[in-house]
Amino acid sequence: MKRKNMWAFVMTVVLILSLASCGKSGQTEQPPADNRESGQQGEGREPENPQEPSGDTQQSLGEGAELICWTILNPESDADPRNIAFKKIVDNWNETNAFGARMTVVSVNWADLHTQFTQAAAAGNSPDVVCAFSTNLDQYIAAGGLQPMTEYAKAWIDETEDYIYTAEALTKTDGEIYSLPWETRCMVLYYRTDIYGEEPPFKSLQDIVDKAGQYTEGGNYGFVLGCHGDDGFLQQLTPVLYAFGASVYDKDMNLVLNSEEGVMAIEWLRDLYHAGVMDNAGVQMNIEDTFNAMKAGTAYSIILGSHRYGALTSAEGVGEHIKTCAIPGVADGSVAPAYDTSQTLGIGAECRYPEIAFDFITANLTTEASSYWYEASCMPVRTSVYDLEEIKSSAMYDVMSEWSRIWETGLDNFFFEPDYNAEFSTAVAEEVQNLIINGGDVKAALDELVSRYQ
Amino acid sequence: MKKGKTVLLHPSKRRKKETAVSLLFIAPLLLLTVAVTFLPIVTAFRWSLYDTKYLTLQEFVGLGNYKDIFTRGNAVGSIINSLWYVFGSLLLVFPAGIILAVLLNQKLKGRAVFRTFIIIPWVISQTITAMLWRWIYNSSYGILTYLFQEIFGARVEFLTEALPARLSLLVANFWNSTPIVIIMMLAALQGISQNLYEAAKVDGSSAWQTFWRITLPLLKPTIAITMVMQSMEYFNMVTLLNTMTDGGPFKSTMTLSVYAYREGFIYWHVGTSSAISILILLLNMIFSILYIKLMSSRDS
Amino acid sequence: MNPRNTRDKKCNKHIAPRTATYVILLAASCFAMFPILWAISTSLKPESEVLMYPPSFIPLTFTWENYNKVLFQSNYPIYFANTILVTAVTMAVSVLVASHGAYAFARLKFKYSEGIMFMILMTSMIPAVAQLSPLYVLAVKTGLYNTKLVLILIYTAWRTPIMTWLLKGFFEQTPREIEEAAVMDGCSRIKIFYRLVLPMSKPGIASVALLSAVFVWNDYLVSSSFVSSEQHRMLSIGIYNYVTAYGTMYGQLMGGVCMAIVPIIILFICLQKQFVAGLTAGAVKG
Repeated sequence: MKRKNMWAFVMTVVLILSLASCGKSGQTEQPPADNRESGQQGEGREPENPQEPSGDTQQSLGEGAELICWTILNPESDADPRNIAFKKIVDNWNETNAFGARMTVVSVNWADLHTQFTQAAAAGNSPDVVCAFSTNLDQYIAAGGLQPMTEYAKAWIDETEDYIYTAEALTKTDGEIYSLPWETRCMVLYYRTDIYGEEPPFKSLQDIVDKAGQYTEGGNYGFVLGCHGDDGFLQQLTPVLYAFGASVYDKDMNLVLNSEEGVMAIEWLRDLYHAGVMDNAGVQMNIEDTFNAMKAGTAYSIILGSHRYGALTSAEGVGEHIKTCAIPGVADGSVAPAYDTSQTLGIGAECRYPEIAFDFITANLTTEASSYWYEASCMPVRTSVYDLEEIKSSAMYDVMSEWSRIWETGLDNFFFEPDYNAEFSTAVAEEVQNLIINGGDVKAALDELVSRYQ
Repeated sequence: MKKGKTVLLHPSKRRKKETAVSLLFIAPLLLLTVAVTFLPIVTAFRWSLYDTKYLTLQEFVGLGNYKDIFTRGNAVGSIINSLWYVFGSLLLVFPAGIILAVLLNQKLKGRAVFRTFIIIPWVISQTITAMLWRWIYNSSYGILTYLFQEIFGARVEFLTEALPARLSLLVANFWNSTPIVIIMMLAALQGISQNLYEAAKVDGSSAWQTFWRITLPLLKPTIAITMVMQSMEYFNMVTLLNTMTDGGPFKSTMTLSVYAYREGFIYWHVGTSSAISILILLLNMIFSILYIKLMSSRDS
Repeated sequence: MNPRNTRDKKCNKHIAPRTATYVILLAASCFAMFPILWAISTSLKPESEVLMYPPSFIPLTFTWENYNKVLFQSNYPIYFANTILVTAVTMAVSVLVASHGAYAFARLKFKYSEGIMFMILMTSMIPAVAQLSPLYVLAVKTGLYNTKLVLILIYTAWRTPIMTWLLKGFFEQTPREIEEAAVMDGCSRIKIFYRLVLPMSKPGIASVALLSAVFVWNDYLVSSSFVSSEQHRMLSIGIYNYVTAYGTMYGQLMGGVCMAIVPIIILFICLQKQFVAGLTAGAVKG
């Protein structure tokens, strides 16, 4: 009897709930897909940002406005040399900005920021300024987290001749500019000089297949390119794709990975496996594992972002033997066009003072600021930095100027990841692992994959 | 029986008062769960019926998301992985937890030290557990790999093939979550009257017999409750699995909740993610009822 | 039988199991402590030695630098204080809410009590991932986003259903006779609850309190979503500062982790008395 009662009760409640939710949805259902651009529609979207303590100064042109900036950097900590550079920039701006405004920095862990920001964006809770990694930018825009800064940005780029990006390169497919890079980096080849010698070790990609296998043994890798993880895999693979003349997306963000050249790149990866350069464990590494293996001295060459240089060269026992060079191309002696990415700053969709926010952003882009970034081992976005005397005499000068030459080869391909990049990258990584370890027709597999996301 | 007694002592007045007291006692609980848990579940259920773009609802698709996760998605494989993980963990954690609790309940020298050592892994969060074990297992610089190589002369790849990866995860979870079972069992053991053991001693029962005849039956209610709790915990577990294997290799450790997490917070298909979550809720309900039935049927 | 004989027999009988007991407990302790010791060892190494292969069990160069950095050159103390505050409040509130509810369900049977209990339990069956986004929207709308209150509310609400259910079990185990005797003496239910039931169920209450504390202490999903500013940040997130874009700084991370364990261990040792209180509990019943 008791049990019966309980079930009757549970069923009633479930029924009521489902009715209530249907009724509710009937009333509040949004007409699909109209005026998405306004960024004000739908569930959980609130025009007002309760977090922003500046409500009462709304009309007064932002005099004494309080702004919030979400970033991966933490001015309160010196765990990362960029924190120190950023602290200088923020403190300086807070004291001297023409608006009497104040920027509060909220530090979010780098691995977490894009999840946190996407959620905030989708719920209408985005901060005034956000640090966005270039590959995440489209997701942020699609989630409604950023507002265009085209007018301001174009004017600023026009008057800043030595800024390394053109307005065109930063314009998204909708014709707007959403963010400005404050540093840049490119994928390079890291190698161990005590294994391979001082000079760049590989003449071509094929050379890696031929040469690196002899060092792969018992958990050590002559070369490793792990096929795992959300977007780390495509970041490592992209220069290889460029070398073959392939790419993941074209300029209109259509998927073109399944081209003939794309197939060749994947087959190159498979050759690495069959030539004994990588084993199962190597194939399944993610970008962080790859980095740690190089640091631990168990990987002798890898493809990784130039920004990891400092951490790698400081590793005990192996750091002093680590050097970088351009990733080799297909023909002997050629190099692969670089894959460039960058950390950028954008203005949040709910920001009431875009002008002030933009002023703060450009404070990160002055020549002086760029020299701070340089000191923190970031590739600067202003070429005039290289003319400064203290920079010319710095220890990193040669390395940094080589990177910047490598970086230039990738400029044509900057900024073309759509918002489903993480998902697609994961799917590609899984498929590639499967193709490498279990075999199969590469072309057919890529066609199927692309058709699923197209 | 109990009702009869109360009515006999104090007629309707007493009952009324008791109802008032019980309402007072459960009111905070009800308020809190309705406001903080029930409303979101209703929202999630609603989202699961829609096509979504980030957190905005697009068109109503009914059960379309549910159909999708089974036909185009990975629901069947994930259910199998979830069952593997949940029952693998339960099978490891419960026997070990009960035995260790009984042992720790004896009068022993250094009992407090043992107890503290064995409980410590529980206070390590899932994130850190995953990072530690992932590092220990690492095939190229992990300490366990190193030890295996030194002792057995063979390299073992813990996380890169389906079966070893599943087992490695179970070990990490076993390490992290056995202590909670020990604690619940220890607490329950305190409720068992010492007289029963004295009686058993007089009867000349061996320790083993005492365990089977007295301890285990008396622990049963707590075992049932703890099992429901842990089973839910394992079904819903995200952080440990996601940090350790990302659901790989080849989706072999992609449980339903990892699937829901990735759909919801990495790919932002909130509708799909909600549908998977509702599926998890259903599984949790089914299994909870099953455990309770199993445990109570053995009683009679 | 002669009493002395029995005792001798028992002694002999006990030697083997006793040794086995120690062996098992020792093995379990080793298994439990191995990763912890590895973490401690790592925290005492300089960063450059951390990823060395083959690994060194005992640091080649001892250093307190990691602890120094974590304690004095970061906001770790703030995170620590926040976490202790939120954990303590959540623990107190959830134990209060759960024990009252549990007593009502265990002893004061009322209409639909089983159904209501099951519905409440059901709320803890839905995975956290499904509730995060709806709650986030709710928190932003109500202005509770980025406050400690929202953390306490969510933790309490998520943890009380299972705690209530566990406590209900413990309350049902306490001997009914004592309560009924008290009822006959004319004690009110409320009095019985505070004077009799609560003191008798200490082991159960201690264990659910721990359950709630450890959950809060270790949570990542909630505190990373609902709180963004530095002054409200929790330890589990703060520790992540050492997982940087330039690689994980294992030394400092493990230093932070080792220190974060300490308060919970202290709490456990304090509450531990309740788990060994078997004799006294027996005495009450006897």
